[in-house]
Amino acid sequence: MTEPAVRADGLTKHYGEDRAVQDLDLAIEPGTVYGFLGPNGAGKTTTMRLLTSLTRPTAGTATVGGVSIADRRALTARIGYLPHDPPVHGELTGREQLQYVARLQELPPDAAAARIDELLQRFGLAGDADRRISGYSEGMRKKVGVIAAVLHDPEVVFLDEPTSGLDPRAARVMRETIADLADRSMTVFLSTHILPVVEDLADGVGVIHDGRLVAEGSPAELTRRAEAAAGSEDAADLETAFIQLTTEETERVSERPARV
Amino acid sequence: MSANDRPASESAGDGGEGRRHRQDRPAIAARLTVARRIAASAIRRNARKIPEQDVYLASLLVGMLGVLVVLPPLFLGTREAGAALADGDASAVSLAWHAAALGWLGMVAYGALLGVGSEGEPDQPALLAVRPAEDVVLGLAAVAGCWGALFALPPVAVAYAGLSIGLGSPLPLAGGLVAGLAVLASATAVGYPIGLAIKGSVRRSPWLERAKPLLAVGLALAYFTAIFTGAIGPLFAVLGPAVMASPVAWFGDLAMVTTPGAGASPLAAAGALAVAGLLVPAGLALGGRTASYAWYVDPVQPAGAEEAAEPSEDRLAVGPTLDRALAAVTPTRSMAGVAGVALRRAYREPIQLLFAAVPLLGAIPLFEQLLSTGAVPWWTPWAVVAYGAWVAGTTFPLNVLGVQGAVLPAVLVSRARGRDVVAGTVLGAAAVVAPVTALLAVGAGMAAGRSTTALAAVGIAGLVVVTAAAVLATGIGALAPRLEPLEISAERTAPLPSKTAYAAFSTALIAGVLGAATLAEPRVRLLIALLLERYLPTGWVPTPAQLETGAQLAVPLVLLAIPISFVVAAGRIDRYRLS
Repeated sequence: MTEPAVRADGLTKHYGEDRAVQDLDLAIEPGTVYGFLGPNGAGKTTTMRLLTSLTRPTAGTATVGGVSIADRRALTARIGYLPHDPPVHGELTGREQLQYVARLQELPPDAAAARIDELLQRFGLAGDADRRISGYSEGMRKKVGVIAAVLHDPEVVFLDEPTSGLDPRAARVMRETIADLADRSMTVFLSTHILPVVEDLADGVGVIHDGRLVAEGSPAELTRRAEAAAGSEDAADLETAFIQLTTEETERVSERPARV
Repeated sequence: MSANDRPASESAGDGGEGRRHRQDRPAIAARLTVARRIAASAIRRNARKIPEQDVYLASLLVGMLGVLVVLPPLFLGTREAGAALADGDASAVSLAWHAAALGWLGMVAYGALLGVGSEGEPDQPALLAVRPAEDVVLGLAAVAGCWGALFALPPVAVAYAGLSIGLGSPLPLAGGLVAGLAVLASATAVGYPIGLAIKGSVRRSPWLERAKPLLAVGLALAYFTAIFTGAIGPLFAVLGPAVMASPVAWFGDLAMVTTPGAGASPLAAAGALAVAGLLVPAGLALGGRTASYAWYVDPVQPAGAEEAAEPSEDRLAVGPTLDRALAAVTPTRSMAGVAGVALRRAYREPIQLLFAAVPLLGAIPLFEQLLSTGAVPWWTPWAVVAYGAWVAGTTFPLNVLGVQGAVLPAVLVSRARGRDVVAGTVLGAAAVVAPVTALLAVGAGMAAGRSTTALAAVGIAGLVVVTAAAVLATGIGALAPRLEPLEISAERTAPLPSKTAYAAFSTALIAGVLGAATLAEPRVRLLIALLLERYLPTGWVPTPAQLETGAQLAVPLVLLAIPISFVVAAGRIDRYRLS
């Protein structure tokens, strides 16, 4: 049996009294796309920060690419991360930003230059690569961020809302890129509100609500579950399943007498 | 027809007579109501925001302190003038006319400054989708007037209170306050639109947009130099007669018309009220036009439209050379990358380095001495080294985490080690500041007639001390980072170090540099002892020998802190977690 690309056991993060993530268990197979869904403030970004070693857990453990998240130095070679706000300097050009990331990743200059050119071309940024990022649209900044996240060909890439702010054409390129990453055996941990993207691409889906993983399965399993719960013969989709799951959880939480 | 007799559709709610009545209200009253609400909202926002803006709050407090310091001598002076006037000496209050006229000019300049700055912008751009620019600018001009009142009215009130007490009559105070309000309102109505017009021009000009930070620094330095060197006096001597020959001088008559025996012209006083009555509506009407000019514009991109399409190599011709040079002198690619990015960002957004120029204000007396005597003091090279060290520390190293800004998560999850990030940041600062400091220090030493040995020492010190200071800054900055960039104007932010980091680094640096200078130069011991004797409020003053002992303790401690600082900063980056 292969080692999961991402494994979390009881991963928990509290900020004082606020329970951001609670007892999260995950096992994501290598080379798959994992859609991580949840309402705003559910704990998606905190989970990503935990799994990328940017935040220290209150309790629990996790490994990414077989490396403990407590060992950042070993972990960094295996992961790529696109935060919700693209990590770019407005004073640099797109190409300079990517060269900077390539140097931070200690990539050989020639190989880095070729890879940057290839990815810029793929994302339709080649013509704007030598303009300053301060003049870019949000979608262009996001593209630079995604390229930076995969530049060093990591085993697992964490993408926080990669399609937000993108026009339909760019969003399609992003979807194709994510699919392509998975084809190259890269594991993609994808947080997004755009449910059709997850429905199209994800092999597995996790739904987080109020810090807890409330459902997990393939998109088809979750939609079947939604259909069964609704008792309807009409075909449900992932959006219906998501709304149903989070509504149920909200009602359950509201009946709970007190929080931690 | 009574209300009961009217159809329901007319008497209910906003319909019928009520609606017509409201529609008939003068448009100006409705606009003033909107302006009052916009002003109240802006003032409330300022009151909540300013306490969180350290630098803004500090400069505001310094400004108010400057006003407070002036008040006691102003009161004593005007009270004395009032007493002299009571004795029949009308010449004792002749300055009042100049003060009113120059005060009007000063308030025009202040209004323009507010118009150019963040007070010349609506709280939210969406406000312009709700109300026309003409209405919004009324509210913002009122806020500008409130700022002016905060600084201008207390001195006016205190001055005329002194005059009233000296003269034994409350009338001068009444006249002074009326004139103060007239000056404030008319000058703001003139100055604020001027500021908006300047803002609009800058936004439309790629050249001005690019040169804006440098122009601002140049103007500030020119202003403070004029103040400290007394050059402002001859400027007033030129401006004075011109201003006194204009209707602006009538504000002096307005201020003094209620002062018995001052000889003010009632006709000129009435003229001042008429001038204010004309300028306020005219200025505000012009404000609507200039506000539209400033706000309804697509700002020029900082890079410049023509630059945006050019390859970066063409714009920054040294780019590839810089990268090759950094790659040649650094052991890791990440170190070269951090250094190169720091230099590029500073070159393209030099406003990030604005605060490094602040200590230059303290050097203005030195420049004045240079200009007046033509002689360079012997300690100047040491001052240059100390300043260079401070600049090298406070540019990027003192906020080694914060300068990465939005890229910090990418840095933390990259292969770059903390030591590479720290070393790259230090290299970025020292690569430029160290050689410049060394050259300036040697140049100053030559001008001061120092020996060849002393020149060599100060040149080497320029390189070593600057680099060491940059390293020292990293540890302090890593322990007390400021991760959120600070607003330094309406449109720009900068990743400035925290107050704690500034204070700790400045203290350590002063201890180190003064300690080293004390040990190297016997004259420094004497100079410090002399200064302490003059300014230390305690009875105890250290002797030169005690200073030497103190320096022998302080210097090793600061030297020890330098490698520790590097290790602390590197470890902090390696272990840093986002909250």
